[in-house]
This record gives sequence, structure tokens and C-alpha cells, in this order.
Amino acid sequence: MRLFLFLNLHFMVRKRLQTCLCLAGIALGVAVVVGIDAASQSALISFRRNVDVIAGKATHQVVAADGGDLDERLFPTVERLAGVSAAAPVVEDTLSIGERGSDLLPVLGIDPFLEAPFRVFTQRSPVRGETGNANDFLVSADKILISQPFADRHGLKAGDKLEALAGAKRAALTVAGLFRPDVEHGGGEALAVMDIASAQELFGKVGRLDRIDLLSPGFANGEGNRGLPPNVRIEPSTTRTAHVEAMVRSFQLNLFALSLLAVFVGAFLIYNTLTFSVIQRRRQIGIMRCVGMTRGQVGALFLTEALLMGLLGSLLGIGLGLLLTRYTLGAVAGTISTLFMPLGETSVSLSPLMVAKGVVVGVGASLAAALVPSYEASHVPPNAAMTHTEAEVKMQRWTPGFAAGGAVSLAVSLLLALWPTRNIALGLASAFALSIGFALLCPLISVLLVKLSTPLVQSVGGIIAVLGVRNIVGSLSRTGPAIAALMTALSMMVGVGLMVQSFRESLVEWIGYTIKADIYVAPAGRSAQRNISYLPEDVVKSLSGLPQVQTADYFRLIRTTVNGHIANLSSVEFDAVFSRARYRFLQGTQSEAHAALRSGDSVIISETLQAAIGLKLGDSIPITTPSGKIGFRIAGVYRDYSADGGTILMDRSAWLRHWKDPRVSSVALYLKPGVDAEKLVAELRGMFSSTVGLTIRSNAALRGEIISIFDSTFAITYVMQLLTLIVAVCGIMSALLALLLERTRELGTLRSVGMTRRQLTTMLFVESGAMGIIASLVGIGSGILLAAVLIYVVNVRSFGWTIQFHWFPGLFVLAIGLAVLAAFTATLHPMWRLRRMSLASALREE
Amino acid sequence: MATGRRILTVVLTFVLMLASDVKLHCEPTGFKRAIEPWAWKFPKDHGQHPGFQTEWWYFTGNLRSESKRDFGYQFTIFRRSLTDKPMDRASAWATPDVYLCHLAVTDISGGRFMHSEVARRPALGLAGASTETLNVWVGANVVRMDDSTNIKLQGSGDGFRFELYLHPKKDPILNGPGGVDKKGPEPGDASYYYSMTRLETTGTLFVGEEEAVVHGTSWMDHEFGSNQLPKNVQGWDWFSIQLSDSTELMIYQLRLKQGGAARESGGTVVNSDGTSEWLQRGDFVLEPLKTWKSPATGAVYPAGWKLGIPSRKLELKVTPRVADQELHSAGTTGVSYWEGAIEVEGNSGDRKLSGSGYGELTGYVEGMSGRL
Amino acid sequence: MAEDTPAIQFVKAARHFRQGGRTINALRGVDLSVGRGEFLAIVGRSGSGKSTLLNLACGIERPSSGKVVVLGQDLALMRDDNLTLLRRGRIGMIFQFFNLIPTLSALENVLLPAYLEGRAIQEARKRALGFLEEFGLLERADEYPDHFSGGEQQRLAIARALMNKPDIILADEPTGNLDSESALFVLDKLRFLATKSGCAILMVTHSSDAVDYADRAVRIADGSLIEGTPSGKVV
Repeated sequence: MRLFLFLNLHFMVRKRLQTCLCLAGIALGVAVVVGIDAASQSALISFRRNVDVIAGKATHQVVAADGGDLDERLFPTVERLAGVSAAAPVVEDTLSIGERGSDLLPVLGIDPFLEAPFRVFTQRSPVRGETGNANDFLVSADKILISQPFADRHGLKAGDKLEALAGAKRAALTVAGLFRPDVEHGGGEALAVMDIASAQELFGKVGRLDRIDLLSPGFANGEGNRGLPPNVRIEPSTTRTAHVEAMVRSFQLNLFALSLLAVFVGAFLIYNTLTFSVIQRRRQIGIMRCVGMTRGQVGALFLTEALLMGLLGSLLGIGLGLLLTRYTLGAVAGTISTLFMPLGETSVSLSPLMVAKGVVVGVGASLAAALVPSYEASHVPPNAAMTHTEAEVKMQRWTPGFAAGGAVSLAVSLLLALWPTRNIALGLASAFALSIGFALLCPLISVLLVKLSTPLVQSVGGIIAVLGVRNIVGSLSRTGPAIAALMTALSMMVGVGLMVQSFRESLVEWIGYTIKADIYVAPAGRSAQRNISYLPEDVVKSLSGLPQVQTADYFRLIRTTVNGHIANLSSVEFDAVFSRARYRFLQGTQSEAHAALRSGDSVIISETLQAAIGLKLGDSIPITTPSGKIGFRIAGVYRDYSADGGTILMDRSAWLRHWKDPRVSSVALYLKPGVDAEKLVAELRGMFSSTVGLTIRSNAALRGEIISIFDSTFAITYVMQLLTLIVAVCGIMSALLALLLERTRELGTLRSVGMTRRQLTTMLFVESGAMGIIASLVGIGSGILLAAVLIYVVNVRSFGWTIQFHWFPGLFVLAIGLAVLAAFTATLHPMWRLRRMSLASALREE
Repeated sequence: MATGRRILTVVLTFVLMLASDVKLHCEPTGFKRAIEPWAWKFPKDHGQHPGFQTEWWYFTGNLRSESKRDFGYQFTIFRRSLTDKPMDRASAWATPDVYLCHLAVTDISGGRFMHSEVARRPALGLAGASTETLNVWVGANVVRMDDSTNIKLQGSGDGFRFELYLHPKKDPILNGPGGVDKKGPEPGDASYYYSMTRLETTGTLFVGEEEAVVHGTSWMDHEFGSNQLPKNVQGWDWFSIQLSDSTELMIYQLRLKQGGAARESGGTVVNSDGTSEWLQRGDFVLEPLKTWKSPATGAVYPAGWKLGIPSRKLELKVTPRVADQELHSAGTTGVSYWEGAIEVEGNSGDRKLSGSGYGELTGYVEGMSGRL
Repeated sequence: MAEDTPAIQFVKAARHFRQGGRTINALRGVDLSVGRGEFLAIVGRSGSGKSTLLNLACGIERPSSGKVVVLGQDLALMRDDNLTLLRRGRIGMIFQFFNLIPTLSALENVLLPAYLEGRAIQEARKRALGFLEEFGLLERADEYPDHFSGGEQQRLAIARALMNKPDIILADEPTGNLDSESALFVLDKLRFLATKSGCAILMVTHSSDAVDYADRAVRIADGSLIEGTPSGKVV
């Protein structure tokens, strides 16, 4: 086979532009897959490592089941529990560092004397004089140990002062030393350690613990209580990772599905290139067959070529994917950081498995795309040089078959979409089947569109234009896959675009009727959602005492678990909130709910939570309070986009009654009529800036911020769409190139019988333009359906919220414009080649 | 002895891994110092003495089970003040003191040695000491004296645990005039130090799955002070010996870095009637006879001595009951020392004597002083 | 343009190009003219320069030196667009491999030059259908060329060449891929065009049967006309 391999290589080198385009297509497809995969895996690995560092060797953790923290007096009891061989108290929180508090530093407050069985922090290199004093660390409240990487990034060394925000509190700390978390695979790149006493005092948690780590190998894997107070739960230490992994997995699944579409588009390219090469080499294949090459060998020859291109493209794609990861990683890590734990600088870790996945996807797609061309090649009769026309005849014969396959695929898609399940993968499969269905239908639709539009084309553009569109049908074996590729990319653009825009529009509406207070005040120190910081008491007091304030909403947020599902539990002043906001109630009404919330143990739950736990209006929802589980009546189900886990809202009076904890996470101020909110914001900033770190925002600023968070969350989808579009442009370019090169003699004939250059140019642009228009029309149709699947199936299954479908005609115009532009761009190079070629040699071209 | 301070510091360092340079050598300023003779009052002085930087309670003993298996044990609790300034902190965990417990059991018949350490700060009742009587605890390790001066020891380490009842046969004896035990030439280079030299012991010992009802004799030291070891001292060899003639002997020799014994080396002899005499450096002779090399740390320890007190015509041969009774931390930066059961044979004049006790050898591990 | 000027005139027309570092002399200063109504056959082995001669005549190649005058116009002085218009309006071309456009029907292929010219389509259509009828292909007007036999395809090609009433027909091995019956039809047609329509016909061939139909034959070898066969029939 070595000779044949050489032939392949020779051919690939000779047709280097074709080969390059093909490689670029595969590479981009694989890059998107690897980029997404590596990003989620790296973020997850980084998260796991951080969890490893932070959880240490703990097998179990004691946590507050009521969403608050633990009374430290529980510790001696827990330490003496039968089966516990070691226990360590932990205070866990976050410091905000840097000018805008943008850099988050997780802090672990520990008792060094109880730590040894759980965590070891090794100093990187013990340099005399640089290290702190162990006594000081325990004695002075301002001492903090910082991980080496974080210190390096901020240019900190032992003895330096560190200004930070702990919630709203401005803290002046001293770096007592640097350490490297002593775990096998790193982790804890951004981590600080304080003595538990210092941490309690810094974060306002005196007398409280966030958790107690246990070494209790005999305990069960499930949750338990072991006779501890009812608001306390013992859970395996893997529980925390499990939640994040579930989240990252669904995130990953969504992105992976999108990236598969890119590969799908890339596969068209390979199909095109190989078919082209089969046709170009028919004579050569014929000769080979004459001199004794078997069918199998011919087939293998072409599969080898595909394999080669797939491999090369995959390798390129993996490299490219790693570059892409720099961008995607930020998105994934950012999400984990906001939701769970600051990850710090996350490095890209590329595992052999990821490489393998990239290669499998790239090579697999290449081989799959090569099956038909290779089969064709192996069936070239020894004597015959089949003409391009024969390929067309075949294509035309197969078009109905493709269409039938497409119809089946669409039916499958519909079935998957309507199947009563909450399985996200099936929803994504539905979207994928939809794309495949339309791709298969593409040739037939193209033929029909050309036939239908020919009279119109003729009356507008004359016969030259007709010649152009006619070529699309005439060379369907070429143009079909190219149109399908472009169509798929556009469909994805339209579908995802519609979904994102609809989502955004729904969010804007939702903000419009829920975010109604005039000024919002929260601690400036950002923190992971798990650790909620509080406003200092005096701040709350002085805010509510302001003469400009009509009423205030004291907001408090904790994380709770309802029937095994993590949800946000917020308490608000409904009298204040409902004085202006009109929530969208899906069950119940605002006025009935308001009355119930004010009078007793009632809550309202978000539609997302309802989707997750399946309770409805009037049902009792079990919520763990400090005095144990209590059933709250559901007084309403409302629409909410604020958190993907779901939200329970209760009135502050009920919160205080059960939790007896007056701390406030943030305050919303409703001003008296006529008060200038922006002016008051400025005044408040002046009033507090020196003493505490507060974020004070006007209504408009908060709304703007929510939208910008949304936009940055979805930025990654734009990148993927762009990449897919680039792959599609490569596809259409390679198809047109192949097409034109094949038709060189034909074009030469046209010229020689009197077609001017201008006419030729017009014809080619009409041809490619029409391809673009066909692709965009089908793409828009398919995109609208894709959006429907994403909105009504995938979104509902993954998040549980309903998005209102919104139309964005601009997106359609953009799709058509992009498609035509892409097609035109793709024509330029082949045209240039054609014009450079002399007519005489064009006519000689075989 | 002063091992406690050193170990405590090391444990702090060890856990935090702030490896070196902990301010071991800073002069304590605001702490009380052992200069004047102490006005001893028991049982109050069995309790802790706030204001002194370091304090420890040391229990060692040789035991025998009903099935004639021999054991040695060590149970030590150290208290260490981190600061001489008052701490005004909101958190209950912010305590000026830290407590540490070292436990060891020597299975003499089985030739095994096991040891453990536990540290706690006196927060939420995790550790602490009474100021009124002997009641000190670190986690589950407790030593408590009842009204009739009986002492209960409870200790548990990795793979062993014990519960022992100690009954003093003699009153506490002071080491040095007024209980002031000099360790160096300067005033305040000393600690307050008394011993209970003969404690009749019964109880239960659990080693692995094995349970042994034991009886034997224990020794108790209680020492508090704020002193530092003089810089020219390399380490010490210390022995507590209970002899078959109802007398007891405590000897310590401070080894100078340049060789030889420091002038402040000394000891105490307790007569059978409970009276005692103090020994100066010149009153005794202590000569190593052979050595043992630790496979764990590579340190070479003396492993057998000739001990003579010419004034009492006492000539003893001291032998470790098990060679390897070295306490070494699992990490590489820990401090290591040898503390183990010993037996003695010899004569006082013409009278044959035998006995048992405990020895403590420090300053033998290479490079240790560099790291500290 | 006077009636007595030759339709095609080669004046010391030479053509060489470089290939792989060597200079290939495809044509070495040929002097040749084809009169109106004259049927001239060029014979020679492959690679002798016959095709180059044809390419020069329709302006798809330009001479390296010398000049080519077609219907009184020096091709060297014409821009590409004008050359195209010349080919479209005055020259019909017939190829060995027919070179029909596969995506166009038989009728459309014939109509192509008229289409390109944008001529009144009704009139052109009538004319094209006339050709198809004449060539016995009327019923198959809407079929695509790949369903046609070689002879039928060449008839279509001739119809296409005749569509715009050319003054000159350039035929490159027109019978090279045809059975003898079809070949005879083609040659008859060409002969007829020269005689009755006054077309100048320049045909490249290596078939002696084809030469018999020509008024005159010229042999070309190694880029030069062979002396001694200035005119008359070549056997």
C-alpha cells in the first residue's frame, strides 16, 4: 500500500488549496470540540483540585441543613461521635482583592492543631526571614497565609500588607507566609489560610462554623444526622463536587452538542474534497484497476486519504482547540467561580483522553464522510472514465432518497422533542436530528427552489443568471453538500441566536416587572454564592433611617436543599416588593399570595424549582429550619430567571420567626416620590466609602448589570457560531473551487463560443449567490425550528424556565447577508484561478 | 524537662509548615520567671500556673501484666503560652495557650514501641488545666486527681490506649532549693520543678486488640517556667530510677556543645522515708557504655550507662529495656528524641540493687539544632 | 471590409512558450491565408502545431511574433472583450469532444451564442429549432446532451456554431470522435457551408477522408508548413 499512499500524498500536495481547506475544516471542527471539552475538563479538574485542597482527606462533612452555618459549640460533640477518628472545624469564605474587588481569594479558616489529618500546606522553600511567626499567626487576627501562585500574581511576599474586602468589611491583613498546598496534582492556586479565630472575626462569624470536616471512613455514603440537632446534616465530602460536576456536565453537554454541529459541517468538507478527488482521478483509478488493483484496495486508498486528512486535521484542531480554550476556559471557570468557588488562575490541562476524543471525532467524521466517495471510487470500472455528468446523474437519482432520509430524521427529531422526559441529552439529540434532517433535505429543496425561481431569475437577470442557478442543480453533487454545510451553520446561527435573543428579551421583560426598587445596596466584596456575605448592622440601620426612603426591602439569601435539590431561599419584605413589582404568577395570583405570605408559613416558588421538584400551588414544601423540617404552603409559582437552581421566596417576618437571624444580605430602597435616585446614590457612596465597601446601584445600573452578565454568559455561543460559519465558508469555498476546476473546459467552451468575462463573472456570482440564498432560506427555516427545540425542549429540560419566543427579523437578514457574502467570498479564489488560466489550456483541460 | 517547649514549637511549625525561624530564641519579657523559691501548696500547685510561658506534666512508668508481660508508658501534657500580652479577641478559638499531649507505650516483652501526639487549644473545652488541682486534658487524654490524691490517667494514641490509676506512696519532693531547678548560669535560667517519685499503679492497657490488666510503678514530674536553654547546651541525658530499696533517683546531665557536662547538671536522691538530697554535677558520674543507631533518624544515642554516686557508694548499670524507644514525627522536619523504659542493676556498697525507670535523651539528631 | 480580403490571414505568425525551462516552438513563422468560401484542411501529427494555429485564429492564443488578421482585423490590436464579441458574432467553433454544456438542454446549447448576445430570443429560437429540425434532433430539443450519441452531439455543436451566422468556422478534429457515418454528415455539412454560405472553414484533422472534402490542405510539421504542398489535395 505504500505506493498508493504515495499517490495519495502526491495528489494531496498537488491540490494543496483543496487539501488546505479540507484540513482547515476538520481542524476547526475538532478545535471547537477540543476547545469546549478542554475548557470544561480543565475547569472541572481545577475545581476538583481546589475541592481536594479544601476538603482535604475528609470523608464526610457536617453542614447546616437550614442553609445557615453551624454553632461552633457543636464541635466537641461531633469530635466525640462514635466512628469519627478526626474532626476539624472550618470557616470558609471569600476575600475580594484588587481595585475593583475583582480578584477573588477563597479563605480557609482552620485550627492548625486539628488540621494535620486533613490538609497539609507546605511552604515552597523555607527561606529564613521570609517566613512568619507561628505564634503570631495564632495570636494576631490580621495574619493570613497565601498560596504561592496567588502571591506571585499579586507580587506579595511574607510581611506585606494586604488590603481586601470581606463582604462589606475593609480588612487590612498581613501576609504571614506563603504556602503550596501539598496535594499530588496541584490545586488551590488561589487560596488563603487563616487561623479559625481570625477568620471568624474577619467574616463576622464569631461562634459559627461553615462546616466540620470528618475522618469517618465507617460512615455511610448517604446523608445522615447521627443524633445531632435537626438543622445539622452529615454528608459525604463528595457531595459538593457532585453538585458542581452535575452542573458542569450539563453545561458541557450543551456546548458539546453545539461543537458537534461544527464537526458535522466539517464533515461536508471532507465529503466534498474526496468526491472531487475521486472524480478527478477516475482515469487514474481506471488504470490502476486495469493493472490489477482490487476494489478493496481502491476503497482503502481513499479511506486512507480520509484517514490521513482526518488525522492531520485533528492534530491541527487539537492545537487550535487549545488556543480556543484560553477563551472558553474563562467562560466555564467564570461560571463555576460565581456559582461555587473562585478557581483562581485555571491552567489548561490536556489529558490524553481529550486528545483521543479530538482525534476520534476528527478521524471518525472524516471516515464517515469518506464512505460514499470511497465506495464510488472502488466501483469505477477498469475501462471507464466516468464523467462529471455521471456523478450528477447519480446524485439526481439519490436526491429523493436523501430527502426521504431527511424526512425520517425530522420525524425522529419531533418524536424526541415531544417525548415526555426531562432528559437533556435527548433534547439535544432532537436538535441534532433536526439539523441532519434539513441537511439531507437540502439537495431536494435546492432543486425545487431553483425550478420554482427560474422564471423569476430569467426575467430579472436574463439567461446568464439562469445559467448560474441552473449550474446549482446541474452540479448538485458538488453544490448540494456545500449548501447543506452552509445551511447547517446558518441554521445554528439562527437557532442559537433566536434562542439567546428570545431569552434576553424575556429577561428584559422580567427585569422590567420585578426589579422595581430605586436603589440597591450590597456588600462590595464579591463572594461565591455558597458563602453569602452580609451588610454591617449599622449600615442597614442608617439606610432605613434615610428621610428620602419610603420603604425598604431587607433581602437575605441562603442555599437550601429541598428534596435533594439545591435551591436559593430568599427572604424579602413583600410589602415593599409588591408595592411596585408585578410578578408573573403561573399558579396563584399576586394579591392572594401576598396575603398568604404575610400571614403565615407560606412561600412562593419559582417555575424552575417547580420543574425540578414537581410541587404545585397549595402543596407543602419541606424546608429545613434551625428547629428542623417545616412544611411551608406554596402560595404561588412565579416566573424567575435569577438562578438556575430555583428559588423559594418567603416573607422576612417568617424568616425571622424561624431562623431568628437578622443579618441582611442586601437592601433595596424604595424612595419617596420626587427623590432623585442617582443623586442619592452619589450621596450614599460618599457617606460610606471610607468606612465600608458597598456596592450602591440605581435601578438602571442594576438592570444594566444583569443584562451585561447575561451577555457575557452567552458570549461563548457567538464564538462558536462564528467558528462554525468559518468552517462553512471553507466548505462552500472548497465546493466552488472543485466545481469550477471540474468545469474548466465547460467554462472555456462558454468563453470560446462568445461569453464575455463580465458575463462569466455574473454567472458565477449568481451561482454562488443563489447557493447562499438557498442555504440561508433553508437555514432560517431550520434555524427557527432549532430555536423552538432549544427554547421549548432543551432549555426547559436543563433549567426549567420558560422563554417567550421572540422574532428577530434582523437575524434573518443577517443570515442571508452572511450567506451571500460567504458565498461571494468563496467564489473569489476559484474565479481568480480561472481568470489566470488561459482559454487554450482551459479547453484542453480534461 | 525542656523537651516540651521544643516539641511544642515544632508541632506548631509542623502543622503550619512555617518550617523554620519560629522565634524560639526571643527573650520572653512579660512572663513570670523562676527566680525566687516557690511557696508550694498542694494540691493547688498540681494545677496550672498562668503567667509562666511553659508548663508540663510528665508521667512515666514500668508496668507488668497478669500474664507477666512488661510494658513501659509515657504520658505528657505540655502547656505553652503563645503570648505574654493579654488577648482581646472575640473568637473563642483565640486563646493565648496551646496544649500538647505526647503518649507512648513500650511493649517490652514484644519489643515494640508506639507513640502519638495530640494538640488542642483550650477552646470549647477541647483542652485545659485547672488552677486548683491536678486536672489537665487534651482531647480525650486526661489526667485527674481526686480528693484522696489518687490520680486517673486516660490516654489514647494510634493503636493503643490506657486507663491507669496512680496512688502516691510518697509526698511530692522538690528538685532544687525551693523547687527552683537551675538550667543555666543566669537568674531565671531555671524552672520550678517537683516530682512524685513513687506512684503505685494499676489499670488497663490496650495494645491493638490486646487488653492487659497491669500494675507497676509510675513517676510524675511537674515543671513550669519561662526559661530558655543556654545556647551552649547541645542536649541532655535525664533519668528517673526507682530502686528496689525504696529509694529513687533523678539525674540529668546537660551536654555542652564543646563537650563535657554543664555546671548546672544535677539530680535528686529520694530516700525511702521520703526525704531527699540534691546532687550537683560533681556528685555523680554518668558514662555511656555503648550506642544504638536509630534506623529512623540515623541519630546515634548512648544505649547503656555506668552511673555512680560515690557519696552513697552507689554503682549502677543502666540499660534500655528496648533499644528503639525513639519518638520521631512522621514528617521530616519534626524533632525527635529518645524517651524510654530502662532497667538498672548494681550495688550500694555491698548490697545488690535493681530497679527500673525512664530515660530521656535529647539533642542527638543531626542537624536538629539547625532546623530549630 | 472588402470582399476580397482573406477571411483569415497568418503573417509570419509564430508562437512559442516555455515549459519546464525549455522553449517550445509551437509555430515558427507561418504564412497562410484562408479565403471566404474556402475550406482549408490542416493536417499534421499531434503536437505539430495545428491546434495552436486554430487558437491563434480565434484569438484565444496570441502570436509571439507576426500577426493574425481575421476578417480584416488585426487580432493583436483587439481587447479581450472585442475578441469575445468577434468569436460570438463571426466565428463558429467545433471541437473534437463537442464541448456541449451539460447543464443546458439541446435547444439551449444551440441557443447559447444568441443568449450570450442577448438577441431577440423569439427569432433566435425559431432559427435554433430550424437547425434542430434540419439535423433531425427536433424531438429531442429539451433533452440534455449527455443523452446524445457522439454524432448527435457534434450535430448540436455544429448547430451552435452556426447559430450566429458566422463568417468563419474553426473545426478542431470535428470527426475525431465520430463513427464514419456521423463523420460524413459533419464533413458534408462543412463542405456545404463553404460552398453555399461562403463560410471560410479552417479545419484541423488527421483524417484523409476529411481532407478530401477540403478545397485545399496544408501539412504542418514541427510548427512549420511543409514546403511542396502549397496547395491541392493531399493524399
